[in-house]
Amino acid sequence: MAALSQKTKWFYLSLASAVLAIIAIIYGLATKGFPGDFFSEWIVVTLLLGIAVQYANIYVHFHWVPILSAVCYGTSFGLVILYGAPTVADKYWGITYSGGNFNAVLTYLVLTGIAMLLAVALLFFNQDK
Amino acid sequence: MSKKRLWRGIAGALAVLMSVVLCTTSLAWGHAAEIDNVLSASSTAREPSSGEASESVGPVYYESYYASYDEAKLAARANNVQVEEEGAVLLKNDNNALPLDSSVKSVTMLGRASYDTIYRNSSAGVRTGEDLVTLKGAFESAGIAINETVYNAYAQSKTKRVASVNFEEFDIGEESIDFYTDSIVSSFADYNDAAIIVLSRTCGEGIDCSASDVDGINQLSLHQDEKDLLNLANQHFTKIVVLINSGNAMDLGWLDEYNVDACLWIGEPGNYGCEGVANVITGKATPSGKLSDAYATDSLSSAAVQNSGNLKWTNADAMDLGMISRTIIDTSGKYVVQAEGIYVGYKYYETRYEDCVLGQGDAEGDYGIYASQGSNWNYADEMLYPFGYGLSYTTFDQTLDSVVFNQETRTYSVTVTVKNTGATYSGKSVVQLYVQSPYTQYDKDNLVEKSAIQLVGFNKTKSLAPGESQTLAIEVDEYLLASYDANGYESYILDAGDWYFSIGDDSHDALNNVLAAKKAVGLYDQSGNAVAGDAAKTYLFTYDNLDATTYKTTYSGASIENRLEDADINFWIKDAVVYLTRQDWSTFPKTILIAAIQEMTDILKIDNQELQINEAYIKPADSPSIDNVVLGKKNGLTFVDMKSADWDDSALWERFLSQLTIDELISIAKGGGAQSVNLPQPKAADGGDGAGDVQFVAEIVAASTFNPELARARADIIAELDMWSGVSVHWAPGGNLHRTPFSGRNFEYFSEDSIMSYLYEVIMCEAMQAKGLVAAPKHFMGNDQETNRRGIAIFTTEQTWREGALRGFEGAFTKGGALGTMTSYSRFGLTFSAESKAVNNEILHGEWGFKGYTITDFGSGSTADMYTSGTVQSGGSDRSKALGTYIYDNDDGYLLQHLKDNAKYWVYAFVRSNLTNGLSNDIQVVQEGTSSWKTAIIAADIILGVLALASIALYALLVYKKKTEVA
Repeated sequence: MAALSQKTKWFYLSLASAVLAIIAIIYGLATKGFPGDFFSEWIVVTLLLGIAVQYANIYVHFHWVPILSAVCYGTSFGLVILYGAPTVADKYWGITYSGGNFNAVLTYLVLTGIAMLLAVALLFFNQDK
Repeated sequence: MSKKRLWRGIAGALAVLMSVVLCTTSLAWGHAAEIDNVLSASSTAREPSSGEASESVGPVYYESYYASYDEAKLAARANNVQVEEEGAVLLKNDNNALPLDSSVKSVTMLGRASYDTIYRNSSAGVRTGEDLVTLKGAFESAGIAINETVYNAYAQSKTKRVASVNFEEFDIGEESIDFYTDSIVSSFADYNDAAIIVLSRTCGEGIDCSASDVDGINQLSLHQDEKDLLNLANQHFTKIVVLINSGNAMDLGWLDEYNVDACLWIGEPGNYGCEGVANVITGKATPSGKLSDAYATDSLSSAAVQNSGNLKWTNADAMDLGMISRTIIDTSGKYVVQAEGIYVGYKYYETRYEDCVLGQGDAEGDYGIYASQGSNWNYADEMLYPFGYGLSYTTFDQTLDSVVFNQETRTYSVTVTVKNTGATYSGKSVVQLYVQSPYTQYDKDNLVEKSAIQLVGFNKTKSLAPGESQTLAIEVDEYLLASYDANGYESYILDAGDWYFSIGDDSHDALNNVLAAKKAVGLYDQSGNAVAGDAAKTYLFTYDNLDATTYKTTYSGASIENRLEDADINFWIKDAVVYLTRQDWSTFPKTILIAAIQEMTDILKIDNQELQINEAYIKPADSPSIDNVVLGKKNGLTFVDMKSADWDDSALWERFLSQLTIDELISIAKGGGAQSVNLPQPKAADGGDGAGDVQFVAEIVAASTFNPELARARADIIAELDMWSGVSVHWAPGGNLHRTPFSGRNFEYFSEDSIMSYLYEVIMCEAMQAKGLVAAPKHFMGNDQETNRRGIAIFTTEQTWREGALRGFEGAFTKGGALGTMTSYSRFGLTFSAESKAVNNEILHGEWGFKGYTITDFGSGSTADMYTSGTVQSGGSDRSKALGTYIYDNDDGYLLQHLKDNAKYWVYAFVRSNLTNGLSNDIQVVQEGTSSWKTAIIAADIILGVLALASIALYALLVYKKKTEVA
C-alpha cells in the first residue's frame, strides 16, 4: 500500500504499463486486427495476468513479483509479433497474402511493447521510498 | 542502485527477452518452409563417398550455354528487352505520332507513374534490382531529354498508390491538378516536343482491382485527376503520347476525347523492359504486340464480372463455420458461380456480335448493356479493342495459303504468307489463326456452348523489310477444336457441319471474315464502321457426322467422363442457376446470391475446423498395417540409377521405393531429400516473372508478343538462371486465366483465352524441362480471382471447367512435359483443390498422364486427404511430425502406401532435372539435419535461457542472503 501513498517512480511506471495494457486489450478486442479478424485470447490473458500481478504486488509486496508481470507483458508482446508478423510481411511485400489490419497490428506492437519496457524498467526501481 | 534491484532488473529483462524470443522462435518454426525457400536452405549436402575431397564434379546431364551466371544474366536482359519491344501493344497512332521523329529532343513525362512506374506487380518472385532501367533512364539513353522539374516534383511527392494491402482503400495514386504549380507548368515550355503521360493501375497477389475505389468508381476507368492531367497536357503540348502501365485491361474509351495522339500499352516492364519501350517509342523497334485480352469500353460489361469478387452465402453468418479456416483467411463462407460458362472475355463479345448479325438468340436485347447507346446491345459501343488487336508502324498483307489435315497425327497444318506492304519500316507480323465450329441443334439440345470464334494457333514472322514476304506454318491439334459435351456423350465432340479456319488482325476481324464467308450482311468493326470481311482469309471444312469417339480417349489412354459434376451449383441445389447460353442472351448473368443448403454447410464445416492431419479423413477399413508396406530395404539402387527408369517398370520402381524409410517418405512430403537412396533436397524458385535476381517483363507482356520462339527463349533463360542458382524446380509459368479485367494477377498469367494459355504452357514447359528445370505451372487450377482465393468455392459447368480453367494448364502436362505443379487455394465446388481426387488423380494423373509431383500453395495445411489424392508435397507449415505421429499411432498403412506412391512422382520428376548434375554413385548425399538458421535460433534460445536462469539464480541468491542477513 506504501506505493499508492508514496507515488514513487515505481508506482508511475507500474501504473503506466497497466494502463497501456488495458488500452491494448480494449483496442485489440475492438479492432481484431490479426489475420482472420481476431485478437488472440492469449494476449488478453497474459496482459490481464500482468496487470493482476502488478495489482497484487501492491498488497503482497514480494520483491521478485514484478518480474512475473514483466514476463507476462513480454509474452503478450511476443504473441503480438507471432500473430501480427504475417500482416507486417504483407505490408512489406505489398500483397494480401494473410490479411489483417496493419495499422492495428502496429498499434498492438507499440502498446504492448511500451508496456513491456516500462515493466522491465520498474524492476530497477524501489517500490517504496 | 542496490545489487538486489540491479539483479532483479537484469533477471527480469532477460526473462522478458526470453519470452519474446520463444514467441518469435515459434513464428520462425511455423514459417520454416518459407524461410528455407528464401534462404535456399537445404537439409542435404553432397560429399565424396570415400570421405575425401575430390576434384571430380561428377557427370553433367544438363549444360549451360553460358560460362557464368553474369553471362546468362546478360542474355536474360537482351531477352527481356526484346519481349517488351514485341509485347508492347500500340493501341492508337493518329497521324503517325509514333515513332517520335528526330526532331523530338525534349519531352515532359507526366503522370505520377512516370516516376513511380510499376515495374513489377506484387506477387512471389524476385524484385527489381539495382540495375533497374527506369523509363526516364531509357528515354535519356535513347537521346531524349526529360523535364527534370516535373520528374523531381513527382519524386518528392508524398502521394502514394494504394492497392488495398491490409484493406486500405484502393487509390490510383495520381496527383491532383493542384500539384502542378506555376513553376512546374512553366517548365513545360522547354520540354514541349511531346508529353508522354504514364498511367498505371495495380493490384496483385491477394488483391483484385476494385469495382469501386476511393473515388467511388471502377478502378480501371479514367479518374478525375487523370482527366485534369490530360486537359493540362492539351493546353501545353501539341503531341500527347499515353503509356499504359498496367497488367489489367483499363477502360480506354477516352483516348479520342482527350486528343491523345498515340497510346502504347507497356504492361509491367520488369528490370530491363523500359529499354524496349524506348526502342518502340523512338522507332528503333517496330511494335508488333497484340492484346491477349479484349479491352471493353466498360470493364464491368463482361459476362464474367457479374459474378466475381466478394460473394458469400446468404446464410454464411448463420452457418457457424468457425474462425480458423484451412488457410489463414477465413473464406469458407465465400463462393463464386461462374455463370458466364465458356463465354469469358472475347468469346462473350464476339459470340454475341455474331448472333446480333445473324439475328439469333435475341442478342440485341438489353441484357448486359453497359456502353451501348440506346436500348439495344451494340458490339461497337461495348468493345474498344478486340482480343488480338495491335497496330504497327508498317502494314502487312496476310494470305491464307493452305490447310492440310494429317489423318495420322490428327493435326491441321495451316500455311500463311505475310508481306510487309509498307514503304518505310521493317517489322514483324503476327498471324492469328481462329476457328469457328458449327453450333448445331445437338449442341442446343445438350447445352454444349460454342464461341463464335476461337483462337487455335499463332505465329510471328521475322522482321520483314518493306516488300519482303515470309510464309509461316501453324500446326493445330484437332483436339483443340473439340468441345466438351457434359450432358450427352460425356466426351469431347466434333460437331457435324461446316467449320471455318480464319485469319485476321484480331478476333473480331477473323470473325468478320467467317461471316463474310457465310455471306452474312451488316458487318461492322469495333468502331462501328461497315466492313465487308474477307472470305478469302477463311477455309471451310466439313465434318459429315458428329464425332464423339475420337477424343473419348485421352493422350494417356484413359477414358473421359464427367468428373466435376459436384462442382456445378446445380448439383447441390436443383436449377439454382441458368448458365449463359447463346440460345437466349437473356441468360446474361446476374449476380448470384444464394444460400448453402445443410449438406453443403456440413462439408464446409468439416473443412473449416482447426486443421489436423486427419481432418475429415477416415482411415479405410481395409487399410493395411504399416508393417505391410515394404520399406527400409537395401536393394542397392540410388536416385541417379533411376535416371533412365521407365515409368511402367513397376518392379524396378518397387525395388527402389522400398528402400525408403517412413521418415524419408515424410521428408519428401515436405520437399526434403532421402539419404538412403542418395536423393538430395531440391531447391525451388517461385513466380514466372523472375529467375535468379532478374525481374522479368511480366508474363502478360510475353503473351502479347504472340511469338512462340521468344516464349521459348524466355523459358530457356529462366532455366539457365535457375541452373546457375542451383534451382531445380520453378513454380511457373502462371496458367490461370484473366477471367475478368479485375483479377489481381492477370499480369503473371498469359491471357483470358485458355487455348492461348495452353499453347504458351506447352512451349515454355517444354523448354524448361529440356534444360533440366522442373516446370511447375501454377496455380492449378481455378485461381482466377484473388478475392477470397483461400478456400473460395467455385462452381460452374463441366464444359467450362474443361475448356476453361483446366485447359489453360492442360498443354503443360500433356504436351509440354511439365513434371510439377502447384495447386491453388480454391475449392472445386466444395472440395479443396489439393484434396480433389477428381482433378488430381482422375484428370491430371489419369486423363493427362501426368507423372510429376504436385505441391500445395504456401500456407496450405497438410492433410491425409491431400496425400491420398495425389498431392505429393505440402507447401504449408511443417506438419511432418504430426503426419508421422498419425501414421504410427493409427497404424495407417493406407496413408503410408500413398506416401510411397507419391514418392515415385517426386523421384521421377527430379531424376529428370538438373538436380542430377554432378551426382553419381561416387557422391554421397548426407542429411544435414537441422537448417543452419534453425541451429542459430536454437543456440540463441539456449544461450538466452542459460543467461536468464543464471541471473535469476543470482538474484534469488542475493534475496536469500539478504533475508539470512536480516534474520
